[in-house]
Amino acid sequence: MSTEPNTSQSKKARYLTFFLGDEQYGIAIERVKEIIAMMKITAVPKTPQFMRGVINLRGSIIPVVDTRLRFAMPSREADMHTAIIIVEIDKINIGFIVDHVEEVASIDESNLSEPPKFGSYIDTDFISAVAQMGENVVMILDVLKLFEADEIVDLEQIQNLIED
Amino acid sequence: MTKQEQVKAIFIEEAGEIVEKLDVDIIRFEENSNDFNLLNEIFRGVHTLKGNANAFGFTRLGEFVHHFEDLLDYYRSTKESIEANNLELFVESVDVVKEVMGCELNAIEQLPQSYTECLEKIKRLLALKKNISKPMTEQNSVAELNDLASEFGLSSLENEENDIEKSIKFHQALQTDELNLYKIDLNLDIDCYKRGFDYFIFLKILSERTNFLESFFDMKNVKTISEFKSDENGIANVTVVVLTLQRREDIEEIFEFLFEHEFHITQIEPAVIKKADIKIEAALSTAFQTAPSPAPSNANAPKSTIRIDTIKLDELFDSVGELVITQNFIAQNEKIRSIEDEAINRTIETLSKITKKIQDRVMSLRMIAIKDTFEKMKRVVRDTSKKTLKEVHLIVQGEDTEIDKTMIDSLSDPLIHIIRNAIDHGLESNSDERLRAGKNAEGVIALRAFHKSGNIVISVSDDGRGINKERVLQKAIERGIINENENLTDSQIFSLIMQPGFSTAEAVSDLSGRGVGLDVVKTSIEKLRGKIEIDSDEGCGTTFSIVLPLTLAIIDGMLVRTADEIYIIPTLSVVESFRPEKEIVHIIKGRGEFVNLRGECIPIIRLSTVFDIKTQKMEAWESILVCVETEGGRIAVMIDELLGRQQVVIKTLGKSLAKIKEISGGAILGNGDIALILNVDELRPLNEISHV
Amino acid sequence: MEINGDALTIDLDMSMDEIVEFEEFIRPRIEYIEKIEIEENGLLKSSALLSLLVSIKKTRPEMEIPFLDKGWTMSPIYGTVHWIYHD
Repeated sequence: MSTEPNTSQSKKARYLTFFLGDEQYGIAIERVKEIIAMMKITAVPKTPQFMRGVINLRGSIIPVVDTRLRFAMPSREADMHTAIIIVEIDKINIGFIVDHVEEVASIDESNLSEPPKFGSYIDTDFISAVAQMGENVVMILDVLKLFEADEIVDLEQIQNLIED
Repeated sequence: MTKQEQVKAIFIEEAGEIVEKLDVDIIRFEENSNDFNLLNEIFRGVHTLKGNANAFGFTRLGEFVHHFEDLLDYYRSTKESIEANNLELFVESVDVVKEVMGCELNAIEQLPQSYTECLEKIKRLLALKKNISKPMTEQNSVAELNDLASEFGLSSLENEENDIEKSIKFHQALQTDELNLYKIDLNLDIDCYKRGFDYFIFLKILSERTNFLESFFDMKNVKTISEFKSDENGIANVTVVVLTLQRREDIEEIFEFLFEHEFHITQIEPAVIKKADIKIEAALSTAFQTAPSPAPSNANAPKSTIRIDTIKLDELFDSVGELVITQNFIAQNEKIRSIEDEAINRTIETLSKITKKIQDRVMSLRMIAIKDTFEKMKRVVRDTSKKTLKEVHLIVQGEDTEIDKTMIDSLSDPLIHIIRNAIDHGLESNSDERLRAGKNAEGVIALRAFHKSGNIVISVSDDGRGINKERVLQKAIERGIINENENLTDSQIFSLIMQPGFSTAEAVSDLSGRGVGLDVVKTSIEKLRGKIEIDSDEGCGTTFSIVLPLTLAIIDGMLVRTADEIYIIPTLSVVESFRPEKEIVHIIKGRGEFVNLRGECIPIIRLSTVFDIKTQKMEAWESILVCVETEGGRIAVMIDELLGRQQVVIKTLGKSLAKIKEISGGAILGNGDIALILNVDELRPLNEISHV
Repeated sequence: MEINGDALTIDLDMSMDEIVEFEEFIRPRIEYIEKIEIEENGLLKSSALLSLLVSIKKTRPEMEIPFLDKGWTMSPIYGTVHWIYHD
């Protein structure tokens, strides 16, 4: 988290924002390890639908989640904007597919508010806050909760990590 | 890390090694207490521990080891033969050393009770054997002590000269090319305090520049209080022994403001035979390896070794793995293969050969002889034998068999458990029962290691009661682990005792404890991608065999394509591949497809069914069948195409995907694609899948 | 420095001035002090204190000075220190 020396009260944090359909989401930049273009994904049998498979990232095998399917949205053919965001949680790398990556935005803490209790496509457990960026609404995702629910990551193992 | 921290880390590592060696040596010594060379080895180990423990303020360890060393020194100088219960004390002392070290390193306040008890015993024994000067008031056993003293020709006090000599002698052994041993004689004038000097200030400066520091204060000339003056120096001489990386000039400059007559530095030359003390962490035998015949430790031509960070070794290993993959790519690439140039083809051949050699050599760096682990087991056998009051004779074979270092640590606990289990529950309760059965009173446990078809096998055999098949079956049915009419091989029946349902004490009371905790052992071995096989002969004995792959990281695999995906079947499991004739393929209602291969009826497995993949259905006679040997018998895996054979580096798929038992990992192919490696033991015909 | 009946407890890390003070303190009382203990976690600052303790011990050999009687001490700062004061 970076603190602006002038406005001693406000705290800004940086988020990577991306689109799934018309909705814009953001995740804390500290979690993001890498962003890559869509590439060949090897399917792994006997996994949930949203677990697309694994990719070869410079010699490491990394599982990749189809975020649309995860959020119960219809799946979509990849196009030239489709990207895979690789996040690192407690030394485990996981990728998830997004329609297109927007930007790295600085969002002031004062612009964050409680997530909505209903509505929206996805289970609101994963949304830690809603941000107002100009005219747009950005839903901030809690990456830890997202992948823990899938038992991909054992939350107990990461208790010592500081939540942003 | 500061220098001090660095040195401390080295101490902790070395101390660990010393203690491990002590553990092994003391048992050996118990077996042969006339081996004075071994006693010397033990003494040296304890002495080194003392010096280092002191330097780092591990006073409790230092204290204990100080007395233990005295005791050992007594015996090794007098060469007196050691009584059995005193031998017992030695073994106990090594245990206490281990425990105290643990307490010191983890800053635990409370010392184990054994510490005080054992220390007392040592002190008493020492007092008995050695003449220690006591104040005149405690002279009840003085007469006895004096007699002993004259008998053994011991002086009543340790001579200070001797102490300095001893210190120098032992630190000579620690010298290397870089570490220098110096003796510094300090004789400060009477007015040194007034000039602003103090012996302790010099000691403090010295300690910052040296790895080892020991000083001897000669206070004999200090006057009694009537004539004493604090601010006048009454200490005649202080001799300091240091081991340092610094040069003589650097040490001399510490004393540059003293008068010339006040200090004197001598460099001590290394002992005649220089002990090369750099050791290889990962693989090769270290200078500590004790040969079967006793040999003086310094005279052995020691192996020249070097310490390597295991992280670096792992990284090297990873790189070699990638080299193998890339080299495979070149060797198998169509375009390259179609180049019809003699020279190019030969070079590619050579490249393959060299890559294989590098691979073998790097893998061998991680291989170490299982000997050390087996040595530890000797201790376990001894302790369990004493605890259960059963006489046990241990046979060890194949100690030089090599195993990947990364597996050795995980192997220890399961082995200990199996051995304890064998002695506790495998062997008959008492020698009468054994004699009645026509066996010797002493039970036999055989520990063996050998290589077999690309795996390493470690087996524990006992010549005890054996396992009763019927009772196991009955218990298993009772517990709902298997159905009544299941057809199991003997091996499968015996393996039932490793099921969790069998491992509780009450479940197993009928079977006299066999099986307790074995489910945990089984899981640990499976984590190493190994398996445990049990064979037993009722009345004669039981053998537990742990089968482990020779290395965790690279396997030889057969690439196959089916249902539009590429899979790898480990070559070791492959028996043969063929395209069946329609006639030999049979479909049995309710039980699936089978192929009759030379009289043997083998179930056919369709990966599309196992993995629930929608694909165009082919008939068995239109496809290729790969006959594979698995734990549950032979199966025939149906594939569309055989793509070739390759050595691949196994990568784990990550926690989420590791749960899929039919897949043991992923491999990256030469072209960058990922192929999933099949765990053939988990591929079962459909109707059996509901089975545990 | 604490005195408790016939037992004295001292701090090891005395400076030269404090050592001289201690010397003057103990001289008239040396006949009835039976025991000298040291404060926990103390570290010698000057060899003069060691000398003084030796002198006291030589004057009254039956006095208990456990720290001195041990004959050695060790610490990360000074390494291992041995001392001998009788023949």
